[in-house]
Amino acid sequence: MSLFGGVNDAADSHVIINAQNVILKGPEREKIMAEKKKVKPPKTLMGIFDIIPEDFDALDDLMKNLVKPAVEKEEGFLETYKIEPIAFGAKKIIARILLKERTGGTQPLEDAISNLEEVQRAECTMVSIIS
Amino acid sequence: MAKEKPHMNLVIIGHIDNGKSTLMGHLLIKTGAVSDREAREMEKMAKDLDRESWKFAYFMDRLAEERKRGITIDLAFRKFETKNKYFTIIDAPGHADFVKNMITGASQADAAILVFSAKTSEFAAAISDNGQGREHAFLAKTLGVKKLVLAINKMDDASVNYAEDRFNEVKAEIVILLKVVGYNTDADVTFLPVSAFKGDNLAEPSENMKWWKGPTLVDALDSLPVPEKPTGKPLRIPVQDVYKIKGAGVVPVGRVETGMMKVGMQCVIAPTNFLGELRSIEMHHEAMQSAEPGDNVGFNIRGITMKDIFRGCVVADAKNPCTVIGPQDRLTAQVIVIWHPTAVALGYTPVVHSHTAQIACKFVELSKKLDGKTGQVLEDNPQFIKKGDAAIVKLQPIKKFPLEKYKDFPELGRIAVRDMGRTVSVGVVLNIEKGEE
Ligand SMILES: Nc1nc2c(ncn2[C@@H]2O[C@H](COP(=O)(O)OP(=O)(O)OP(=O)(O)O)[C@@H](O)[C@H]2O)c(=O)[nH]1
Ligand SMILES: [Mg+2]
Repeated sequence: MSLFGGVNDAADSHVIINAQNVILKGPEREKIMAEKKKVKPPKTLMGIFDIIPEDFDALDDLMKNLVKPAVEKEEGFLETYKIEPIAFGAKKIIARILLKERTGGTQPLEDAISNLEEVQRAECTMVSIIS
Repeated sequence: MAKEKPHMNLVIIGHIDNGKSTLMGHLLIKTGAVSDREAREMEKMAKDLDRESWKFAYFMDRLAEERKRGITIDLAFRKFETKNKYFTIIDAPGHADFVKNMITGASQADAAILVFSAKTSEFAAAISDNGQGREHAFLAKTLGVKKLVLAINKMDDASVNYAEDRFNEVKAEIVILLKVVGYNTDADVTFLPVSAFKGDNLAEPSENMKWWKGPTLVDALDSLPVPEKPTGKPLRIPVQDVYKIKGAGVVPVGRVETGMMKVGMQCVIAPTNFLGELRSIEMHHEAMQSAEPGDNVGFNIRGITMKDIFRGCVVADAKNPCTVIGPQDRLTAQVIVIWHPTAVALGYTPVVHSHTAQIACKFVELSKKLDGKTGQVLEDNPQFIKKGDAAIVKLQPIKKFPLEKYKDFPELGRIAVRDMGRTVSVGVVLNIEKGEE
C-alpha cells in the first residue's frame, strides 16, 4: 500500500522516530504500529488510457470486439471511450477503464491492449482512486 | 469574451486513513462540481449501503449512476473550478507501481494537497520514520511538485476539538519534516486546518475555528501561482508515435514540452541527428502555424523517413539540439528506491524511462547513500542500496538516450527505473558527463 512498501512489511518492525528524532516506546509505539498495520481491501481505480490503433477505420469494432475482451481478461472494465483526431487523418482512442489497485500497476492492462495485433501501443496517462 | 481560466493539475497525497478521499469528495461538492441533488442522492445511496461515514468518499464512485442514467461521460478526471482557476484532481493510488504514470504520463502535478490527520495516533503514524506522510512529501519533492497545500484534517475529532493548540503542534512537526525534505515552508507551503468530513474551512471560514485567520482550502487553491508555460526555452518535443499516412507521409506526434514550434524552422532529431525543415503542424486535424507547450501536435518534416524518427526521439530547434548520452557517457541521478526484491548493486541493468524513451542503463557507480529523513550523506560508495534508500548513482546507457538535466528541462530530466514490470526507483538527472566517442 505504501509507496516504499511498508504497511505489511517486515521493515515495519523498525524503531519509530517522531519528527523531533525521539524514539517512541511502549503504548505510544504500539498505537502507531496498529495504525500502520491497517490493511484495506484493494481500491478501485479509474485509469485514462491512450490507445494508438494500427489503422484508423472501424475503431468502434476494434473496441468492442478486441479491446473490451482483452481488458476484461485482465479484470479491468472498459467503461467508456472516445475517438480523438490527432493530425493528418491519424486518430487515437482515449478510454476510461476501471481496475483494481495491484502489484504491477497499469502494466498488465497496457500489455494486454498493446499485444493486440490491431493496436500499436497503449499507455495509461492518468490514474486516480475512485473508491 | 472572458479570458479562459488557467488550468492546474492537483494530486492528493498522505498516509492511509488520514482523510484524502473524504477531502476530495467534499471539495467537489463544495465547489459545485457535484450538484446538491446528486449529493443528496448519493448520500441516500450510501446510507442504504450502510456506510454513511463513507458518504463523501463514496462520491468518487458516481460511475454506476452515470451509466444507469446514460449521461455522456467527460473523460477527464475530477474537475472543479474556483474563482480564478480550473483544477483536475487525482486521488493518487498508494501502490508504488503507479508512480510511473506520474513521470511519463500527462499527469505531472502542479501542486499537491498533503493531508495529515490531527488525531494523535494517526498523526504519529503518518509522520513516523516510515510513515506515508513523510514518504509522500519526499516523493513529491523528488518529482518536482513545487507547491504544497497542507491540510491538517479531522479538526472535528473529539480528541482535537477544533483546538488551535493542536493545529500549531501538528504544524510545527510538519514544518520540521518539510524543511528536511527541502521545501521552503514559508514560500511554498500553505498550512490550514480542516474537517474533510464536516466541511470546516473547505469553502467557507469555519464557525468552529474562529481563531483561524488564514485561507480556506478553496482560497488556498485559488491563489496558487499558475506555472508559467516554458515558451521562452529551447524547443523540446518527445516523440510519442510516428504514423505513415497516405498523402501526408511520415507524421510524428507528441506534446510540446518547452519552447515554440514554428512552421519553416530547421529541426534536428535526437538521437538520429536528422536535420530538416518543419513543413506543417496540425492539432486535432487543424493546420497551425505554431504550437506552444502543452499542445499535442502532429507534424511533417521535409525528407524524413521512418528510420530517422521513432518513439523516444526528441525534436529540437537545429540551433539548440537536445542532449544525447551514449554508452561512453555517464548520467548522475538522485534516486529513491521504491521497490526491489533484494538490493540494487553495481552492474544492475534495468530499463530507464524518461519522457517517451525507454533505454536499458547499467548502474556503474553507487556514489552516495543519503538519509531519507535528513538528506545527509550516510555512506560513500555503498555496496548496495535497497527499498527506502535515497542515493546518488551513475548510470551508463547501453545505447543513445536523448535526455536533459532536471534543472535545465524538468520535463526531460525525470526518470523511472523499471524491472520485471514494476517500478524499482524514481529520480532526477543531476548531471551528464561526456566521455570519449
Ligand atoms: N472525524 C473525522 N473523520 C474523518 C475526517 N475525514 C475523514 N474521516 C474518516 O476517516 C476515515 C478514512 O477516510 P478516507 O477519506 O477514506 O481516508 P483516505 O486517506 O482516503 O484513506 P486511504 O485511501 O485508505 O489511504 C473514514 O472513516 C472517514 O469518514 C474528518 O475530517 N473528521
Ligand atoms: Mg482514499
